[in-house]
Amino acid sequence: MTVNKGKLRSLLGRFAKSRFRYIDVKDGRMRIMAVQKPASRASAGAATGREGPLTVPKPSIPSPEMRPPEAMAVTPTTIRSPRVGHFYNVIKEGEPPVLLAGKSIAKGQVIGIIEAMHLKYEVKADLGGVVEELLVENGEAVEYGQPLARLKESSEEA
Amino acid sequence: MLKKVLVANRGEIAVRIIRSCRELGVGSVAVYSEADRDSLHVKLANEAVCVGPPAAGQSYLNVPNIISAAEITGCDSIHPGYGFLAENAGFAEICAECGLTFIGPEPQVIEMMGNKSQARKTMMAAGVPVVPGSEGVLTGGPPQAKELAEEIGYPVLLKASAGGGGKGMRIVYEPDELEKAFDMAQLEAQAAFGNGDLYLEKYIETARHIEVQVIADHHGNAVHLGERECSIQRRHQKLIEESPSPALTDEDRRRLGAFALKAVDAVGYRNAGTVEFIMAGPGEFYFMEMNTRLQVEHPVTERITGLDLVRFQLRIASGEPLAIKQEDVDFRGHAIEFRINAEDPDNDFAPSPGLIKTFEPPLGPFVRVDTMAHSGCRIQPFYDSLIAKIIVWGIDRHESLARAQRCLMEFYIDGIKTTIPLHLKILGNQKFIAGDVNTRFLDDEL
Repeated sequence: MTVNKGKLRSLLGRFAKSRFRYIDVKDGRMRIMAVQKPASRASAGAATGREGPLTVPKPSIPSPEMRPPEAMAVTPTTIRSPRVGHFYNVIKEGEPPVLLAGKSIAKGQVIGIIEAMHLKYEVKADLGGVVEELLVENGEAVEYGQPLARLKESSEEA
Repeated sequence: MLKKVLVANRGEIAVRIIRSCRELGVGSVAVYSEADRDSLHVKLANEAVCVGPPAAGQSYLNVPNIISAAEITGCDSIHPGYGFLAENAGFAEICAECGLTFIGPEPQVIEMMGNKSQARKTMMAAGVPVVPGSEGVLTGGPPQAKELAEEIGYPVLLKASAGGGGKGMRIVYEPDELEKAFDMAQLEAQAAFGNGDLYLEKYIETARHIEVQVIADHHGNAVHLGERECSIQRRHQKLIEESPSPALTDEDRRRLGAFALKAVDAVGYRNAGTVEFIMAGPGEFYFMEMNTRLQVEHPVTERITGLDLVRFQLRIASGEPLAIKQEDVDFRGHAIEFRINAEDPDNDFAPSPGLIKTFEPPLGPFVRVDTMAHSGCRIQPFYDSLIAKIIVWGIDRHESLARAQRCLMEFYIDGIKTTIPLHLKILGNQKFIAGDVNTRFLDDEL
């Protein structure tokens, strides 16, 4: 079996310049398959089995697009859960809940309890302000980052 | 049967586990970090719970949040996947204490096998061949190491007892290097694993990595599912795995299977696991370590045995006896897996996270692609770089290599760099094609 190198070179050259992505050519007992990436990169074709090692030319390197993960779609006036568990509004037996619409809370104040693995964790407000709306029910299961309460838009936020 | 499984992992393995849960009619709960909010495993599971910010330490390794996620969703079990908490005996223990079935072996078995020198000792007692070396931890420091090294002959390898992945390891060629190597290895081990204990082994320079898949139920039944050859590695990370190994005879396979089952019996192993051996020469095998989890390369075994390993894991964890006996295990054809990482092979394998604009995996007969990636998905910089595994099968190695080449050429990923070109180079290498490889292949040949 003789390979017409000129013919092959010409064919692959034309393929590389074309918009085609895949070529599969049979010529007598020889068969060539080649693939090229559309965005200005070309892979050398591979004959079926017997020819030498496949050479993949070094592609041009576009700069990778890197963006930090999207910030969560919550406003800065939302208090979010710091952990997973069941959220309780009542901090101490007999005492009224801290998170109530209209109530004022200070940054760092304990605003609830999250129970996880039979342990109770204090939830501290990372913002101060007036509570506009409580977003979870007492005893509700919450995930990390879940909005617990929305505070009124205020210029006096801590 | 288990009712609801929390999958304590992410990426392709989380997707894989969720799929088997769905096929068995078992509910699945995904946990995710804020960075993985749009991930495939989150979309596929029945429910999903956010467990933390992007950093793995605060999310996928956040035990309280993960256990809590299982509690609030009413899960009865947890599948740890591989990596993260999969070989954390403490986590397995906490699961048990919280009434959650940990899908894997007992905590004390995880602990024992995690202690490499202890594992060595156990295997020696069970009659499984181990690499010549110290019986356990080198309590006598460099002087003891030197004495032993003299006995077994240089070069020797100092290894971290609590270790893995090449950390806390030093090769020593000459006696006068030993003391310094000992101190360095100990420091590294202490820093990486919080435990500076070292043990010693003869360093086998040219070796093949051969591992055996095992599976055992809670009723005393265990089978081995053949070997995988994983000699193509880069810095102790596997890149390509295949079964059967071109280096093994049927007799080798039988012997290794028997050793692996001895190991299972010696430690009371339950569920799926892998016994790793080093092959120093024809018929010469030594126990290296046991991995007490499902492994990345498990699909290779699934392909040639026709068995769904995750499905077995779920059934075993449910308390069911193994549905197969050793004589039922059939091996057919040849399978090979290629790990596709988001790394730039032209830039010393620098991580290449970012947005994948187009993701077109290869399809066709006897082709399997395990991945969480898809067109338009973002590969995050916070976790390991594995984005896909291609597993091909052929009636023999020649066919599967041809199929592999076709698949790797067909695989189109635009937007990030991947290790596909490296795999194509390896596939073109004459030694690889001949199956003439060892763990230094990548360094020596490419």
